[in-house]
Amino acid sequence: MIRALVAAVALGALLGCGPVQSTAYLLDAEAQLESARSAGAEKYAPYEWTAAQLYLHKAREEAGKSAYQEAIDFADKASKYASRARAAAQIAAKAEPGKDAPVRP
Amino acid sequence: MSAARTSLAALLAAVLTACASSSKIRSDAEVIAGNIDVARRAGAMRCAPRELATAEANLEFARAEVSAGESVRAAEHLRDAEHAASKALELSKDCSAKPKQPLVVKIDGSDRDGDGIPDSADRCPDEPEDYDGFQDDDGCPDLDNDNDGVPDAQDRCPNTPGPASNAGCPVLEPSLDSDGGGVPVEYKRVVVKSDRIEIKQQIRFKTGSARISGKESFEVLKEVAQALRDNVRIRKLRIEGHTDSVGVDAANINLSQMRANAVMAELVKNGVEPSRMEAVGYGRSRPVASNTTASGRAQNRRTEFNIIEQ
Repeated sequence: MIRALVAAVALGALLGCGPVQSTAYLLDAEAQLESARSAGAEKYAPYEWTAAQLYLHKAREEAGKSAYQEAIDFADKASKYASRARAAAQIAAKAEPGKDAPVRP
Repeated sequence: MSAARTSLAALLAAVLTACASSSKIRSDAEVIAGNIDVARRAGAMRCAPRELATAEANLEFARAEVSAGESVRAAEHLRDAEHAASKALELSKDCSAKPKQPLVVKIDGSDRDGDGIPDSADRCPDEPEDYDGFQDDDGCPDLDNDNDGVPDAQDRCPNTPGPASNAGCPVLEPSLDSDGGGVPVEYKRVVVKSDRIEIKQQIRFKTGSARISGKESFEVLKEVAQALRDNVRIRKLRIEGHTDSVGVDAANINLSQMRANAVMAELVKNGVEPSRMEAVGYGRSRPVASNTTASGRAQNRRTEFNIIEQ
């Protein structure tokens, strides 16, 4: 009885791990994208911004198909691109004459 | 028996079709990858950044889907990649390395060199202005803005003189007396080595968080940034986040990545170009000391700055 219970818990943990992890990565990527958007990445870092959006979209698609590892990988890439977009946008906004960097909310 | 044969034949046909389809997708992907490469070299990063990103991402998605056996979805991504790559190529056709020549309205007078500056105002009426953002109003081309003997096309610092051996950028040694006060300026908190920038004191973070803490940590990062600005030979630095073995692997990798990102963001704030750096979180995978003792674990919780391209 106890063995069955332990096995059930272990199985539950294994099955439950993917969705939880991928959700965490997706949330992180969304936050990074939001931060990049606030920094003006759409205008100042269009390459990184577009890539971040595409990878996040794909990560969501993979999570929807229960392909959690793929979802994690793509969400991670989305986060990295968004982070680069934000950094590039901050620098570009500073360098643009007569313009201040966008105010973050 | 006959039904079994038919089923087997159908199954075989399906397998062969799938294989052929995957193989076709893979070969098409190679062609598109080539187009993307051409577009990138033509300057698509500047002239068609959205199309370039769309093409590259969709190509990666197509390859991932075909590996997962999803040929139909792979083909859809491949179509998107192909379309975006063509657009990127088209937009990059006239994408020269130099900024576009500004439109100049000619009011009167002749303009022998056709650079848009009338001969009456042109100091070099027979040589067209090069519109490189440096003294573009005098009508003379500036092929070596800083007169350091390194042509601007090869000069990584076209407006600051420097020797050819340093790609035209000034060589600033740590011991350089930059303030002219006779006291050599040296890094107090970092040492620039051939393969890394060694920090004398570790960067500290709030427990379980990627927030950098302590004034000293920020001082160290300021010096790392200064060292990077001084050493233009360092083309790419990898900021590595490492943890001890306490906790779950995934959490450690995530935390070390976030910490490496935070360090990179701080260096960007201090004027280092993001393209010169990459942040990687290794979690517990690369210990430098034993994780069985407290001092060993403390040594393993660290940030490293490794030079990966120079």
